[in-house]
Amino acid sequence: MPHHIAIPLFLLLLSIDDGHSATSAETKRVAKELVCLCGDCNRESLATCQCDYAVDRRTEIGTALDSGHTDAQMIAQFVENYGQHVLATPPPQGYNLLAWIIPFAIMIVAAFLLRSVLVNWKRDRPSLEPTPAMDGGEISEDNYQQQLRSELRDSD
Amino acid sequence: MVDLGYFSMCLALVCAGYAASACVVGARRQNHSLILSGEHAALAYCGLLTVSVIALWGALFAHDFQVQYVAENSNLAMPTFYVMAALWGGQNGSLLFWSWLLSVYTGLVVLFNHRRHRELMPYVVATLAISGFFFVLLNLFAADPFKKLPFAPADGRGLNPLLQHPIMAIHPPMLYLGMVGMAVPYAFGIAALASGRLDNSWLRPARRWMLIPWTFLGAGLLLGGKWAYVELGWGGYWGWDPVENSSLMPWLVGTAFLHSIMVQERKGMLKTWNMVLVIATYALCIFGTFLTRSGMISSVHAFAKSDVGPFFATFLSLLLILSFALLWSRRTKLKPMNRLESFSSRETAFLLNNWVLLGICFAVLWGTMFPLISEAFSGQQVTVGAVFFNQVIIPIGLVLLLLAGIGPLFAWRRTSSSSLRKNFTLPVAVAVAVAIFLFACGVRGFYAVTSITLCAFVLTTVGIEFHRGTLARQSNSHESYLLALYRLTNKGRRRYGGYLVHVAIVMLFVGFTGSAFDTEKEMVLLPGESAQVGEYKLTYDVLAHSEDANKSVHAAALRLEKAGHFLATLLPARHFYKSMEQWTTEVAVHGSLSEDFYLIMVGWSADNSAKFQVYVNPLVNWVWAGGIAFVLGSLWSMWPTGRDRRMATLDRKIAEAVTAAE
Repeated sequence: MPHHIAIPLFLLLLSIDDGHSATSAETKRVAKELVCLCGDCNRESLATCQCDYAVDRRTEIGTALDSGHTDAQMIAQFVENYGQHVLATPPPQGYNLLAWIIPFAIMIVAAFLLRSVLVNWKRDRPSLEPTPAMDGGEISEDNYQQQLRSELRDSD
Repeated sequence: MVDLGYFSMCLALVCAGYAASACVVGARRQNHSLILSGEHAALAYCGLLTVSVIALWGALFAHDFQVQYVAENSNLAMPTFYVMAALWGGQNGSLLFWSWLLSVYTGLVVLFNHRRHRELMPYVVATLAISGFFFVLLNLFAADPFKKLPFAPADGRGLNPLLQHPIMAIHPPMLYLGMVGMAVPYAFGIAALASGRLDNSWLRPARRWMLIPWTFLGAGLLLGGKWAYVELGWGGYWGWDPVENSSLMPWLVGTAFLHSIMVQERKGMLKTWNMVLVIATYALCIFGTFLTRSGMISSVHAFAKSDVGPFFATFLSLLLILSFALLWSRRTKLKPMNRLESFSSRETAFLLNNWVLLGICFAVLWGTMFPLISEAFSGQQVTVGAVFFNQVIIPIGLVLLLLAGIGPLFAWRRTSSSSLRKNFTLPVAVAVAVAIFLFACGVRGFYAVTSITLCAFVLTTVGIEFHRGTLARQSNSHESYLLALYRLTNKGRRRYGGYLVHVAIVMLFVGFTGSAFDTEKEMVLLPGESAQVGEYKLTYDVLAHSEDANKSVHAAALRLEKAGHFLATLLPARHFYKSMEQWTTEVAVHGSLSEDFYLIMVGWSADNSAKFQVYVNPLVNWVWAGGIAFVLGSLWSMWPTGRDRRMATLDRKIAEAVTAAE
């Protein structure tokens, strides 16, 4: 449903152009990959930012989509114009892959460390505490009560 | 008044310095009167900073624009409420506020432990006073809130309009109470190391003093989310902004600490690890403050660039080096007292919980720091936005949720495979049923289905814990079910309060999951026109305009209907704050437990046609409800029981006996 509205009055602009056929969903699909670089919004997603700058950029995207640009072309255009940091995430290639790999790699390394610590603990340390009558073995409802009581006593 | 504030800040520095030295020397020489004088100095330092804070408030309320901070952060047109909030609205004032909160915590610790934890207290006070000394130093030399301008401007610049929201008067104090308060459990840890009392005696006060700031921090984070939701106008509440991240990190490590100390209390294991966690929690608070105050990383909430950076970097380095050196020097005394009996035990579950929580914390830290790392090593400027964090954190977060369900099914020491089978049967059955139900209802999306399934799993295990406990209690007390449930929950506050917090976390996850189904629509309407958004019908009635000294307001009135029924009149608006020449978006929300209808007015034209942005956010209110449940659960968990009071009396009697013997 195209709207024809005489443009700006007040302090905010409405950026609805004639013959605008790219829907806001299409525009936002592209904008989601980008951030607002106006300097005040601190790199909020370009899809959701409400500042004038972001609204203008979205209009730009919408117009370009109308004239037959693809999503990828638009994104490449933005990277060319504004630099790589206009992308919402670093492009997953080369050095940037570290951004994704490192957190999981660290967790895997930590898992191995944890495993070796557990194995070590299970093997080496003599138990200094006499084993109480109740261990967590087979828990019937009867001794659940006893266990619960002793656990509540210990923990509070 | 202003000079008095500055002067008492100087005196507070002296008092904090004296308190630290007197307590350490007193503890070394066993000189009790010296320790006492150190504690009194700590109280004086608290009193003096209170005077400074009152002086700054006085200057703000008196509109003394000759004071630079007052001129930069307030103006004549501002409502009184926000003049009060201007105390923490800018860099220097908020750092004074920070110092003051630290001094209040210090004062409270001194007052509450006048007759308790006497071996630890001198070092606790010293550690807190050293932190306080640093912050006051910062206020005096790098961030002086009382600095005067050579002239007095006629009016001030005013508070950032984004901060002129009621939540902003509560959110920063909550967050600061959380971040600052982490100094107290840290101080108890350092005191245990310094005094050599490395048994479990430091854990009880450390746990309580951790729970308090941990609750404040958690509530502060969620309030921040609520503020972002209603004030920033992008339809979401969590943007993985560096400031949000920097307060989430200590909360995560604090959560790990609260779980792993249970292993130490029960089994005498993880002693070194718990020290590492408590040090890391406080260090992350300082690091987060450093990150966002020094202008290193830009953020919605970041303060202007300033010269506090080197101060923070020095303090953080000293804190880490000294804490870990102390820990290293005590390493032989921190050997575990027990061995692990079985991998299939609650102990292992807690270790896995620590692994995941720290994994999330690291991922958040890594993502926050990556732009800096990338620029330093490859020279490339990159942005690491919410998309990245969601990709990395969501899978790890779901593992955490899974563990919250699994943990309670394992018994301490060891769990036999037959009882495991028995324990797992019902929760797994419920989870599978929920998954099938969701699938049958047409819910798709791997993460969403997994998340809700795991929520059902956790809720069932928590429910079973309450139910079995109640039955066990009932079997020998002849109480009614509800009474037995209440008494059980009341008697085991720590355990069952903890489970209530787990229920709150489940509610949060339900809310987070809803965001996978957010929908949005943008539309331009003329007055009188209607639009259909999903099941909702929105009719634009009128555009209105008003002015006051502080701002000019444009508001639209719209009728919201669903299936022919009138729901609400929505009034989205945009405010223009005159002194800052800045626009803000005031969203209009109509909400229920199932979804929020979230409306923003983007702009308007001469013919009064206006452009609106609508978000329909399912389940988002579960996040806020979960936040309330979180606070209630933690309060329940930390509220002193009869046993705590008896212990406190006992502590006091022991202290009195010791004093009498001397």
